[in-house]
Amino acid sequence: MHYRFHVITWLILTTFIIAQPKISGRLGMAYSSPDYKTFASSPFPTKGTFESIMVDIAFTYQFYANARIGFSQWSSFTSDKYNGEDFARSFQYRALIIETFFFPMKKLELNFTLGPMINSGSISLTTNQTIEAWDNLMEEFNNSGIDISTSDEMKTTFFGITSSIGTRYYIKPYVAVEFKLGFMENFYSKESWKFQKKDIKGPDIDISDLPVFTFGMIYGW
Amino acid sequence: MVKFFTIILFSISFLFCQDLKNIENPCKSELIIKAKKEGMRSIKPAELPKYLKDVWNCRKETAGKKTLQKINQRTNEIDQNNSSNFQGFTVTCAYCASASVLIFYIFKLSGN
Repeated sequence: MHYRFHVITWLILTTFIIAQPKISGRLGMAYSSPDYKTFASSPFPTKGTFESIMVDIAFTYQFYANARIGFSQWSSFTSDKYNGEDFARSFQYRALIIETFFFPMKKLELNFTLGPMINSGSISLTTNQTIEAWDNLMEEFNNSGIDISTSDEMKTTFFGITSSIGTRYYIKPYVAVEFKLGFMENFYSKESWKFQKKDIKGPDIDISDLPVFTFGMIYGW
Repeated sequence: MVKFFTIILFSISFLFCQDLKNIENPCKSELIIKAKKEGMRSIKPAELPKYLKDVWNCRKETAGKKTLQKINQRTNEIDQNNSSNFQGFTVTCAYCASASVLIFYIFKLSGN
């Protein structure tokens, strides 16, 4: 069953690659300036500039002479300690993009991107607890000093739109570097978080209108 | 896991085993000539393994580097010719994106 899953995955992936002649992928870094109001002050951790750096991954398919459609994702992640326990916070900004472009000169492309977004955020905490019943059971088997780990997370989903203009330089016909300048307009609400299937309030974060600068490498055929 | 890699290796070797013509100079293979004329994006996905194999062998030849440079140049030329101007609806999309980015930064910089 396990092998079957791998083989099917491999077949799907390779079929996808060879079925689309003008498919490309981008891996890059993005900078934005979200205002994590509650996160920025104690007790929540802050990472300064690094908190504003996101990893960017995108896949596009050229369906027309001047247009591509695809998927783009910016991931913002921070992990630290909160009251001595493992704390992590992540935001995933996902966009379905349409990108139009033209070549003003050889090897140089100007592109224009628009897209709706469906984003998600999560805050997780892993605590090491001591529960007597477990301790006793562990000691029955001659184990000692084992802390039971309990992990849970609160989540939110929110919509947004993104737009950007960019320039791409082809080093080779299949490798390029790209810089993009754009923005995200997010409809985030601190009231719409969920924890253990219950509605709760989340952190106060100002991510409603974010400027985004992206730099990345493109590989495609 | 071993079975998985065996299947992948078998599949890859199956793709590469079809040497249709034993060409003395790989830089003069059908696919390389086609890429030189029409750019590398003219190579169909199914022809890609054979083309990559030809390119790999061609780069070892004396004129290999030049041939590959020509393919790259031709591909760049064709890309530019195909997409030098906006066609159809794409211009509307470009205007929308440019206008929204411009308006966003005007508002942002003016502090509103």
